[in-house]
Amino acid sequence: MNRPIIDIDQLTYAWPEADRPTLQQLDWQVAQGSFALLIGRSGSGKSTLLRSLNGLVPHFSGGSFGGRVLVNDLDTRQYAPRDFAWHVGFVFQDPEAQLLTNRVVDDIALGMEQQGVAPAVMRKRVEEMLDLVGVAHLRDRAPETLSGGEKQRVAIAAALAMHPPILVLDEPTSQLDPWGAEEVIAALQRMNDDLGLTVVMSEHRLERVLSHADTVRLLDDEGNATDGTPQEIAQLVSAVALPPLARLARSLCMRWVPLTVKHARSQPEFVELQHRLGGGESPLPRCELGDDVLTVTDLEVKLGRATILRDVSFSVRQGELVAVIGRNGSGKTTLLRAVMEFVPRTAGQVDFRSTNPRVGYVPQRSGSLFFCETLGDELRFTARKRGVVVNVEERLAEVNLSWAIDRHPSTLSVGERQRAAIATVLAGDPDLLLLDEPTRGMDPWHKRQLAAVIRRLQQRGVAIIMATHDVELAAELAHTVMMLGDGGVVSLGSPADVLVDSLTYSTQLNKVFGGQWLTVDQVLRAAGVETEGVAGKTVGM
Amino acid sequence: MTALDSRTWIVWGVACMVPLLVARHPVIVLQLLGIVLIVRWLCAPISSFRWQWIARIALIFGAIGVVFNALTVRTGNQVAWHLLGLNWIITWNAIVYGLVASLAMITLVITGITVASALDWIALSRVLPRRLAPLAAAGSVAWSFLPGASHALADIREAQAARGHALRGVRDLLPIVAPLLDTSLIRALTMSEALEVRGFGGSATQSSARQTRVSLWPLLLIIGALTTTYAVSLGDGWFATLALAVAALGLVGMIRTPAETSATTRYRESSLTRADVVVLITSALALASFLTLFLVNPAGVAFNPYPDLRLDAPDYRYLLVLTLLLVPALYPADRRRV
Repeated sequence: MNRPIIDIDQLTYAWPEADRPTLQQLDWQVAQGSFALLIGRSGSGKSTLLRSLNGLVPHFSGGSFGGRVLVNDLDTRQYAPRDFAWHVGFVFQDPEAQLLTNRVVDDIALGMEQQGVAPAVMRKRVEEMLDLVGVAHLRDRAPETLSGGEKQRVAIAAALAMHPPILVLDEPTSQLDPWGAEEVIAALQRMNDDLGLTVVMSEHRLERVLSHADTVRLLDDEGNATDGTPQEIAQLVSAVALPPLARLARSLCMRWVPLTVKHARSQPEFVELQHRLGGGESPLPRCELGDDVLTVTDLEVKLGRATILRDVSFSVRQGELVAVIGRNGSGKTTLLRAVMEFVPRTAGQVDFRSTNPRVGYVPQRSGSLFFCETLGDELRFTARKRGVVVNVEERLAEVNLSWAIDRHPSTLSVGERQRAAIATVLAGDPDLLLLDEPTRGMDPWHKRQLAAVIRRLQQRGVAIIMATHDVELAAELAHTVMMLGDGGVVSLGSPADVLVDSLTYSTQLNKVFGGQWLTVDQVLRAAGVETEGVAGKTVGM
Repeated sequence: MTALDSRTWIVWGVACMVPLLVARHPVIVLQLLGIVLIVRWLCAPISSFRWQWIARIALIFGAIGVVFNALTVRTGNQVAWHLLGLNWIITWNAIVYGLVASLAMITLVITGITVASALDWIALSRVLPRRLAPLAAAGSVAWSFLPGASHALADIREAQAARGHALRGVRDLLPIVAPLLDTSLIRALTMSEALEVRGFGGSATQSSARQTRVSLWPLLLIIGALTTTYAVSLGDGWFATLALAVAALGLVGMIRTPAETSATTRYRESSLTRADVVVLITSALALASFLTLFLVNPAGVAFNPYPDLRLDAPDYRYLLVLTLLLVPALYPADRRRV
């Protein structure tokens, strides 16, 4: 191991007014020039640990801090976070909230100006950073006009402009579409390979980063940490957290867990399995559908002079899930808002079968819904406003949150809040439920629970339209997939019609097995394995 | 992405605001409102231009001004209502004056919004004295906070409407305000963290006694500026001059005090274009001419509807010099770049 550039010794930290420490007697050494990945469930302390690397914890957050964190030989207890700007670049989860000026180049230069870097040096570094993260063509653009991936790359450039030897990123791709996420990861890999930059990042979507990491640290709910190579951790971690290919390998008790599509294609067991499966069809299991709930015909939406959607036609039946996919800005959210009549339709029709349709809408940011003291009160508020009688306990049980009936919604984790938002909307007894990016920022464990909730709703006959970037979830749950692009419907059909053979929007399994194979369950059933087995000892459940 | 420099916008803004603070003649106020709206329409970034906003501001300020004036001033020869039993009269004189005062207030607010949206805050931080640069950086952050808060408000209203909630009165505000405060606080926290990790503020190692002395200058500036405004509105020239001197002392003190933060540098030096020079000169000329006229003939911009409701013609020279404030409209923003 190279000289550790990060040396954490017996770190214990409790947030102000917390019952117990989030981090307890934690040790960690990260070698100079390595790519370290931090994984674990929401609430396991990943963000807290990352924030301790530049002193945000405890200088900014308060709370009780014990132990020692040495970063580039500086003790975080003795310096303010701003003094670490020279040593640690920090990129946050939300690309919207970290760009602080109204021009890209100004944002990159802001930190250097504040630290008194000479103008000539500053100009040189700004140009370097623009090239390094591939945003030179955006130099004079206003941040609000950039895509999510572009914003995150500008944030990385701004963080690196002071030439810190360490870059820390807190779930930098969780808010991005697959293209944006790829751009960010590729930029990080290039900087780690070419410049020897030490990268420390947390991430839930392991398929994006696991193969790039040199070392992985797994934090469990009890505050215990397990270190290993990506392969070692892939053997240890709960199968739920793994990318689909790795999950399949674990379920089939393979000795080697593939981390990328390329690894899987070269693995003999997968080659053999591919031969066995062939191109034969194994239809995805889906519940029976009822009558039409909604029919959309030739819908067109204009915002100002820009046409956001045109000629969009589809229908949704009882129990059906229509997944709407497409890159950021393709009109997914606008489609949901047009159905809700939050944006005016300039042409086309939206017809509900019922004369008094009950439509529920769960926005991207579930925090937009909550204002009551308890979750139970939130459900009662919706029921009162909708004029329906609701059994609060039953609705919360449906989303596995019975225990949270008297909890304040803000005390719940990201995944729990999302399910709480769904329960809140379900209290209005909707026939049609609109979900906008329900898995955004969610860890794989909570995603599994959400998938189970959605299945139960489908069986109850609730029609669902779900805007999502999550292709794996769409393949698993959707009856119909609609791909939006260039203001219109690019493709509409069953998951097998839309997601197969797509470069970006096909599942990991389809990239290996081709044909109609999309999900782990589908392949396991065809291979004669009834359920997903989990091989070996698991950590982090 | 406005064509003009931030310094130019500030001078233009001051040149618009000073007449609005001292003039109450309806024709002068309407002229300034028209000028500000035209300049805003042509020069402000298109994304920040919202007629609905302006209409709402006008409605709120107008209603408050008229109602307040009508209920508190019981003088005038034109009685609108006589509240029997209460011995209370509401006069047209009070209503009209309230309307004019509200119009001036609305114009002031729109001028402020126009200047703030047209400012390139970071460019401003580069041209300000170093001691004041953090103020511009803070302004930049505050301004970039607004679009996020505005989007959050729209999201929250939609989310609550989807639950069947309708905003009918003050009691219905809680489902909107509580999530808005929550999301705004989280966003503000992230922004302040982002500033901190980018080295904003440098290293502060001053003693507490030093920090106390430093913090008195801005206080002096604020008190001086507010007192000046109040004295001008009362028409007390001597008191206003004294208060202005106190404000100037505060400003000089702030600038001359060594910064407790590390020295900042500038990514690029900004220079004034010919358009900037033209607008700067015309704005300064308009302001200077207005103040000179005001010293000579203050009645030319006054409006006193008590006890007789009548409107004298304004001094045409005021109208003439204030027309110079339209000059920024000759340099509209390049909207294609916004």
